This record gives sequence, structure tokens and C-alpha cells, in this order.
Amino acid sequence: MTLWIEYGVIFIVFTAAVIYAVKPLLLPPSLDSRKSVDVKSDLKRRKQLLYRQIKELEIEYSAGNLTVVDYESNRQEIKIEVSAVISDLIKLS
Amino acid sequence: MTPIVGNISLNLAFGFSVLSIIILSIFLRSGDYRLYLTGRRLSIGVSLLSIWATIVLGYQLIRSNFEVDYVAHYTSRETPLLYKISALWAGQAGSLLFWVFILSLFALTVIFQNKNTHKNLMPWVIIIITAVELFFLVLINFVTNPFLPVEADIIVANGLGLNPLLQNLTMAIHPPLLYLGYVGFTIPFAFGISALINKDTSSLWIQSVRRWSLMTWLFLSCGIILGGWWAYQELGWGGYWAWDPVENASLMPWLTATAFVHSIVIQEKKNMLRVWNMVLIILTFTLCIFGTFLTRSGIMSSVHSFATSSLGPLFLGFVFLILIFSISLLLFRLPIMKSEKKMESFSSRESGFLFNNVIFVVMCFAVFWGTIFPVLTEAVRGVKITVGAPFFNQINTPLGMVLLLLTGVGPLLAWRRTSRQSIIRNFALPASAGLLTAILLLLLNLAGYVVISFSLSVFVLIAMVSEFYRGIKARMSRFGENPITALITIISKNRSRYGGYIVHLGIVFMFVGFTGNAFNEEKEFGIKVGQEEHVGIYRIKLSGLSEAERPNHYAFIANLRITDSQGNFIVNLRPEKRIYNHRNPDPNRRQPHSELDIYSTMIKDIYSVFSGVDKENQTAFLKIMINPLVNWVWIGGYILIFGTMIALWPRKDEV
Repeated sequence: MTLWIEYGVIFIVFTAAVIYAVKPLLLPPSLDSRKSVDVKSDLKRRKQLLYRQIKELEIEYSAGNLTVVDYESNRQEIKIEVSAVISDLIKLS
Repeated sequence: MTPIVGNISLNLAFGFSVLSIIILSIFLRSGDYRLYLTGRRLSIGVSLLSIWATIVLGYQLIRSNFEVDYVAHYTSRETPLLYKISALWAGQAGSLLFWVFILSLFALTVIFQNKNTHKNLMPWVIIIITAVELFFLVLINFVTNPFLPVEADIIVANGLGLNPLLQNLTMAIHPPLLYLGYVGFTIPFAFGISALINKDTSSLWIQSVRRWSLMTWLFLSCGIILGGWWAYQELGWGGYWAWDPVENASLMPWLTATAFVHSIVIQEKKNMLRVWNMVLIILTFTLCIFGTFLTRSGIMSSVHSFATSSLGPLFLGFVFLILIFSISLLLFRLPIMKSEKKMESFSSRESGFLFNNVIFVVMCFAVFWGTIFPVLTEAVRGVKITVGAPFFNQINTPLGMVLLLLTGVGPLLAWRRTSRQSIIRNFALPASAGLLTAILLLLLNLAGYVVISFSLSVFVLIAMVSEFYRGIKARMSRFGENPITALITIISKNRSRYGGYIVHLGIVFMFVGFTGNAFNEEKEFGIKVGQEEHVGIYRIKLSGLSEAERPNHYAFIANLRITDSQGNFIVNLRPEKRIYNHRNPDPNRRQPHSELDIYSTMIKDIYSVFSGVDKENQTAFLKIMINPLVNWVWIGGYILIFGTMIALWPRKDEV
């Protein structure tokens, strides 16, 4: 008897799982809205990372790990990269 | 909850995984979003059913249902509850189910975490994770099923019980941690391969898997350290690392994963090393499967291998399939994967990272070669030639020294380039301290790797401490903070950086501990009650022999009194010789086991092993070892865990 109850529970669980899985197929057709590569979020992320790099550079400089020359040249290079990323973002929007 | 429920859950999980992969593949061709949702839900079903099956097996183990062959093999009525639960991963079938259980938990986390993100990557991520689940479900359903009943005409009154070596708290925790490490790398691998298939050359996926990789690396590190701890406390040979094939199986993915968690920082910051990172994650994941193969196939004889089977060819086939698929895909995508940026300077943190990566991979190759050498020689020449610890030590010790050096050098270099003035300023103090240490040690008549290791440890220690000091000083002068506030602020504002430095400090502690091996002393002897024996500067007296009967074993206990050469009392040690299943009428079923007793300090450990007893002559056969600096390894491990947790803690803008 207990075994039959267990089989019953298994059957109910299985049926529920199948209904849960196939339910989206009963919805009206909708096409995939994915983009091949999410360029915009990548650029936004890059901008955020470059800002963080400037912050880290400042920490390193204030800690005395970098000379003025190193600090200035590295900061300038990151700034050029940030400008390029921002202009790409403007173009996209 | 009968075993049938577990069995049917596994059957259903297998069917769902096949369906999920097929439906998601059709979605990728047709673009009908409903199919994606269905495939995703089927994959969620696979995970839930696998988790359910694991719970059912756990329940059978706890209630000692000896009608299940697995339960009868790995537990008995006397087995304590904790070890009944840990029996889940003691045998082959259970451990493979446990693999799927962990992967299912990870899969559910990834699927729900990325419900609305990485829409281009997720279908392939789900397919890859489900395919890995499918492989293990095939094994569990058709090759080694944990729910198989015992033979129909046999009634098992009591099970065989768990191997005594596994009846240890550490051993109850170590395998799950190692498995969390092995299984966890499926996620970054799935994202990496999905990015390759989608021609996604951005660093976005890296950002998503960075924390996963670090967390998984932490689990693997904890698993390895705990494994060493268990070996030290249980196996009775006095060491924690023997270059055993199963130990190597966990070290290899750890080495490539360590390289990976360093080099993804460069891809995240500079979008460089894209191909290299793909190679590393493919290697790491493949080595995780290879590690499971080495542990579970029984192809290698190992003190850590508690199961043998015919699973070898299947695992090997899966390893080759992963390698062929991943490498072909990478080669196919090579033209778009190459970075536009180049290393700007040799004296930059990027090149430091790259150099450490090369060393890690070379070490991994050396360990791999030494591990599979016996199998290769047997296949080619028909004779198994084993390379022992000297081979591994000879190659890995100098490489380890270079890595230790880089642990200190890397953080002192700036990103992009470091000028000569900065190098001189940053290296002056640590290098001088390292040199001074070397001179002092040479004057103390020490030589070789001992001098190099201790000097480099001092170099790295000073380098790391001075990094903290500079950061604190800068905040104190800029914001007028007190040293404690400044320390907390620099760590909380730059967790990955300072967390990494703390990990490096942990590595220094561990190297100090490893170097202590050079001063080990050992003596084996038989001793009568009342007699004394000298080991190093210590006197060991057998003050008595006693016996005790406990629920699952019988113990002979040697009462040892340890004094120093002047007769000052140090400690009493009570190593035991145990007989498990002592009530079993069949003597072959009784399992002898030596339970050690260790007196542990920061300077040295006194390690006692009760190897045998002659009751008639009141004689105990003992092995005593004096192992210097072993505690530094475990403390280094704690520091490493603490540092990684700081690095893992999310920034405010990431929460």
C-alpha cells in the first residue's frame, strides 16, 4: 500500500514537472530578442573599470609606490582610453 | 521515501537532461524564445530531481536501510550519524551522485542569477552544464547505481561499516570541499565556451565568472589543505604531502586555476590574454574531470583512493571529448580572439602575472607527467615505473622558489610600466631584509633551499607589510585617520588587492612550514612499560599500556610521558592502536588502525604513532617524529582563506 502511495506521489511530481516545463510552449510565439554581443554593456563596464583603475593609480601614487612621471604618464594613457570608450558610447546611443 | 523514489528521480533527471539539450539546440536554430524557456525549465528539473535523489540516498544511509547495497557496504548500525552522512561520498556510486548534487546546486544558482543577464551566453551555458550533468547521470543510471538492492535472497542484518580512515571529522569535510572545487569550475568553463561559440570577445563574461572562479579556487584550496591535514593526522607517516596520484589530481587543477584567477584580472582590466585565459579554463576544467577519474577509476594505487572500478574508459573518453571540442573551437575562433593590445613593459604587473602563469603551468605539466608516467610506462613497456617524491621535489622546489619570489615582486610593480626609480624605492627594503636573512642563515651553517626559502619568505613578508604600511600612511596623512581606521579603509576600499596581499602572506607562512621538512627527525622502536628512549632532544617514556572498548572499536592505548633532555616535563601523549569491527566473528573483517597523538607548537610537533603491541611482554612498538614548523602550514592556510574571503566580498557597486 505504501509503495502505491509513493508511486502516486512520483506520478504527481513527474506530471507537475512536465507541465512546468512545457507551459512556455503554450504561450504565443515570441522571437529571440538576444543580441549577438551586448556591446553597450561591455563599453559601460569598461568605462567603470577604467575609472576604477584611475582610483587605484591615485592610491598607488599617494602610497608612494609610483614616481610623478609614472603616475602622470599612466593616468594620461587611461584618460585617453576612457575618452575613446565614452565617444563609442555616445555613438551607440 | 524508498530507494525506488531515488532511482526513478535519477531516471527522470536523465530523460530531462537529454530533452533539455535537444530543445535548447532547436531554440538556437529557430530562435523561438518559448523553446528557450522550456529547455531552461527542463534543466532546472534535472537539478531538482538530482538533488531529490541525493536526499533520498542520504535518508537511506541515516536510517540504515541495508536492503540498499551501497548502504550495506559503507555503513553499519554502529557508524556514528556524521559518518553515516559522510558515507554518501565514501563509495563510488554515492560520490558520483554527490558530484551531480553539487553541480545541480551551482546550476540552479547560475540559472536564477542570470535570468535577465547574459542573454546571448545563457543558452549555451545551460547546454554545457546540463551536458556535464548528463554524463554523470549516465554513469549513475547505467554503470554504478547507488540505489541497487542487495542480492534478492540475502537479508543483511548489519552493514560493513565505514573505512576507519574515513571516520575522522576532517575526512567528513575534506571531500565535499574538494568536490565543490572540482565541480565549481564547470561554471567558468561553461561561460568561457559559450563566449567562444558566441564570438564574444568582450571581458563581460570574465567579470561574471571572476567571483565564481575565486570562490571555487577557495574551495579547492581548503580541500587540499584539509586533505593534507587529514593525511598528517590519520595516515601515520608523519607528513602531509606525499605526491600521491590523488593528491596530485587535486593539485593540478589548483595550479592552473591559480594561474587563471591571476590572469583574468588582466583580461578584466585590459582585455588582454583572451586566448591564454580560455586555455587555462579549458585545462582547469579538464583537469578537474581528470582528477575525478584518477580518484575514482582505481588506475593509480593511492592511499586516498577508496574505490576501484571500470569507469576509467568512460571518464577518459569524456576528458578527450572535452579537450577535442574545446581546443578545436578555440583554434577555430583564434583570429577574433587575439588581443589588439600588447604588454607595454617587462617591468609591469601584467608581465609579473604572465610570468607567474607560465611557472604555474610548467609546474602543472611536471606534476601531470610524474603522475601519469607509471601508466605510460606500463602501456609502452609493460612495466609500471613509478616516479617518487624526489622527482617531484627536484622539479617543483626551484619552481616554487621562483613563485615565492614573484609573490613579493608582483605587487611591487605598477600596472603598464614601472620606472627604475620606483623599482629601486619599492624593492630596497624587502630586498635588503631578504639578503640580510640569507647572510644570517649562511653564518648559522645552513645552506641550499632552506636559505633561499627563508630569505625569500622574509623578502615577501616585508614587501607585503610595506604595501600595507604605505597605504595606511597615505590615508593617515591625507585624511587624518588613525592607523586602525586607515587599515580598515584601505582594505574595504580595495578588497581584491589587499585580500590578495593577505593570501600572499598566507603563502609565505606555508612556505616557512614546508621548509621545516628539512629538519625532520624520526625513530621507530619497541619499548617496554617503564623504559625510556631518546628521539632528538626528547626522552620518551612508556608509563603504561591500557585498553578501552568503545561502540565501534577496541583500543590499546600507549601512555607516553615526554620530557626534554634536562628531564623537564613537556606533555603526556596517548596514541592508540584500534581494532574496528572487533566484535565481528570473522577476523578478516576486523580492521586495525593506528590513531595518532600529536603535541603541536609553533616551533615543532611531537608526533607519536602506536604501530603495534605485544601484550604478553608489555611492549609497545612506536614511531616518534619531531616535525618542525608544521603548524605554520595550517596557519598559512587560515590566512589564505581569510584573504580570499576579503577578496571575494563584493564592493558596494557590485552588490
